[in-house]
Amino acid sequence: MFFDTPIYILFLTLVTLAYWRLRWRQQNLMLLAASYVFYGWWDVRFLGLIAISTVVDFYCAKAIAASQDTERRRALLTLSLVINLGFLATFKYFNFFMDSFASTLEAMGFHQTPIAVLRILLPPGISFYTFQEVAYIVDVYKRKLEPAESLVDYALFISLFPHLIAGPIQRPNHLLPQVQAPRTFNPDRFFDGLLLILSGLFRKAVIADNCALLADAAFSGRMGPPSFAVVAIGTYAFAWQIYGDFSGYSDIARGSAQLLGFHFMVNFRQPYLATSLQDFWRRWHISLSTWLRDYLYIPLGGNRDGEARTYRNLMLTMLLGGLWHGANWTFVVWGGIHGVGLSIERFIRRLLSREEQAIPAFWSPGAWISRVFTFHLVCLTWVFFRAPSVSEAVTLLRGLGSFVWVPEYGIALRFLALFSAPLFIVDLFNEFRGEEYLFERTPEMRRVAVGIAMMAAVTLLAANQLNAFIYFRF
Amino acid sequence: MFAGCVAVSLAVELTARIGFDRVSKIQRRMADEYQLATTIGTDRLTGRRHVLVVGNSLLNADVRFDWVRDALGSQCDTRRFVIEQTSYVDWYYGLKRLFRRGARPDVVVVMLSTGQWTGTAIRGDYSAQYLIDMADLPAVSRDLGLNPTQATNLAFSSVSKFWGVRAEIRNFVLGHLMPDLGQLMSFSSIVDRNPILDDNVARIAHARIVRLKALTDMHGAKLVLVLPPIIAVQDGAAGFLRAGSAAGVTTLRPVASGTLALRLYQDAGFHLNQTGADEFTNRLIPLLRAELATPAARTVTASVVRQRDSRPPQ
Repeated sequence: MFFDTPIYILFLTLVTLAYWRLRWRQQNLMLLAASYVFYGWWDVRFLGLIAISTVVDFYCAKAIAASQDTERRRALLTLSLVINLGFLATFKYFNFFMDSFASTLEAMGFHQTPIAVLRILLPPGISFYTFQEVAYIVDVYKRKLEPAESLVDYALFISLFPHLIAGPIQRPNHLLPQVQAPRTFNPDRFFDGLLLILSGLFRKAVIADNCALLADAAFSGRMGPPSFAVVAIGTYAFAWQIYGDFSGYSDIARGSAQLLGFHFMVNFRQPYLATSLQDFWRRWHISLSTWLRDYLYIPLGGNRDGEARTYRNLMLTMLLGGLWHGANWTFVVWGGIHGVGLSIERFIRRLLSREEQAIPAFWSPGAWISRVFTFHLVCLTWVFFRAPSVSEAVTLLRGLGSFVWVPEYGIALRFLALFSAPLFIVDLFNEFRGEEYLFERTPEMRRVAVGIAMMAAVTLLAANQLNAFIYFRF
Repeated sequence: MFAGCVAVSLAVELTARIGFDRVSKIQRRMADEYQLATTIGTDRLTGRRHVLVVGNSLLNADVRFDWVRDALGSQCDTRRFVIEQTSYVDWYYGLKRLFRRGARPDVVVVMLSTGQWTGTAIRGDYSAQYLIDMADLPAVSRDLGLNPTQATNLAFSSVSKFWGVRAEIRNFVLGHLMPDLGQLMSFSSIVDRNPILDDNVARIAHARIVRLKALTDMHGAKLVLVLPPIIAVQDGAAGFLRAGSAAGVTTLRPVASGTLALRLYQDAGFHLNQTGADEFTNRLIPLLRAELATPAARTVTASVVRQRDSRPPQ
């Protein structure tokens, strides 16, 4: 069930009302059942998959923690990783690699080679909960975390419905202790949870879904063949669509969790105000970027083994991070461009002998030049992220050299400004106040006013798209 | 806090129910036509023939309905019910709902393009408000292969006026914020230029026409179909005419697709402009008159009637 549908609101309402009438252990059981109902709503066939991987990881982690034998511990870790990543590889990437293999053979002159192609459905949320399971088992292996004693607690940590389908990817040492301890009802946090949900609906239904109309029209060719205006409009529209969509989802997830007394990590911190790609990745999809840093980049060696290996590790991390997003070469290219950009930034910093990036004053011209440049660099990568194929992305980018103008492009730009400006202003506000969310430290009446304003905006301007949240597809 | 949320939700719903039909011209027109459609034929004392014409924006744009009504004269109670962006599935269940609510037309005229006859989409949540009864939702879900979220969305739209018409609310607000937005939407609208194959259309449309005819027959109404003229020559009309003939339903094709000049269209060749609508209506009226003059359904009438005089009929 999508977060912006009445059925989810009804589900959340019923779960929340029942939840606060139960005691802690009963709450965990009820939430686990509700989370499996939520997941089964998407496709009941995949309940077995998440259940199997949950049970395997639970017992592997207990066995790892109980053992002092290095070989045995490593074998159990490997078993868990093989099963988890094996499921992910099979369900998400099998057909992709088979198709790519077939295309390569075709290009080499081997025609009509029989290749196994299975009609494999993608289990919703598999990318997210797999990463959460990997984080858990690795942290237990490294003795950073005690394994969960209760299967119910561990299963709830993995499947808690607000984050189950599209994150934020919760760290075991952040969420598991919350699951394992009683939650207390806090009226202020509860109210803020409602406001977070409204904020999320505003970002998704008003900003993202309206920008999606423009992005879809531009990328599908309905606004004309690729030209500077069409590519610019489409790319800017998609930039705000994906940001509104994913940050909106994250807000609804965090708000829903907050209604139940849980705190989820912040996933976005005004990413389009970043002054470099490195800064961007500290602000965008933070749960993923920190996961990639801690469980891929650092284990590969990070920046500890010399410059050449650092660049290699950066590129590998970003390429795999791109591939995580989807089974398409466009995502690999997207990740690759970010990897190259991060490497170049690092190289320049070292050339200028700046180990840590100096943060310029917020309103300085230099800061804004950096922001505009970074935003456009990110937009360039969004072309690959959005296009259905690399060749189509390249065709679009080639269109930047063609200058065509019709009056409708001006209307499109005004439409885009109407729906991107509010989010940009909210980001500026959050950046200044340093709040986790817009109204975190605002007096109550102002929070109520903000909530009413967002509700009015959602009521009046929500695009009736029933667009899946973009990251639900990953 | 929950009470506050419930209160706000109720206020929004109430405003949608009471206020929206009053402020939006399109919504007012649609609600008035819906009301007229549900009561057609309920007064049998007049002795008139009751003709209900249904369709989407093609009916709205291509047909000068006032001319049709005047041309059919006082012997006919002619009413129109137009909902934009609707297709066959919308109108099958929409007519089912109208009949269920008491509508008793003698003749039902359905005007859709061949693509809209064979498509598998509905208008969406708006359909659930005005065209699809809650009782038919399981059947609609099966017909369209809806997932549980889509099906429950329709269920909510059936119950909640706000949820059903929220897209129209948005269009209304945006139309005031950006009056030229319609120009952008027309510019970037989806125009499927792929040729529509006659055999495909014949196969799919036949089953659907038979199903719709069974529905209208059950309520004592004669079914007449009208094909609009789109600019694409290969629009599957030949296949559709075959399907209609095989089903024993009259299909009127006043103007063949691809025969009108682009200057007669208001967009990329789908909706006629005022001049094009005048021409199409002038050709439609004699065919409709002839069809209404015969009590039994005839086989296909697919002639293009030349009009020497394009002025509206007196």
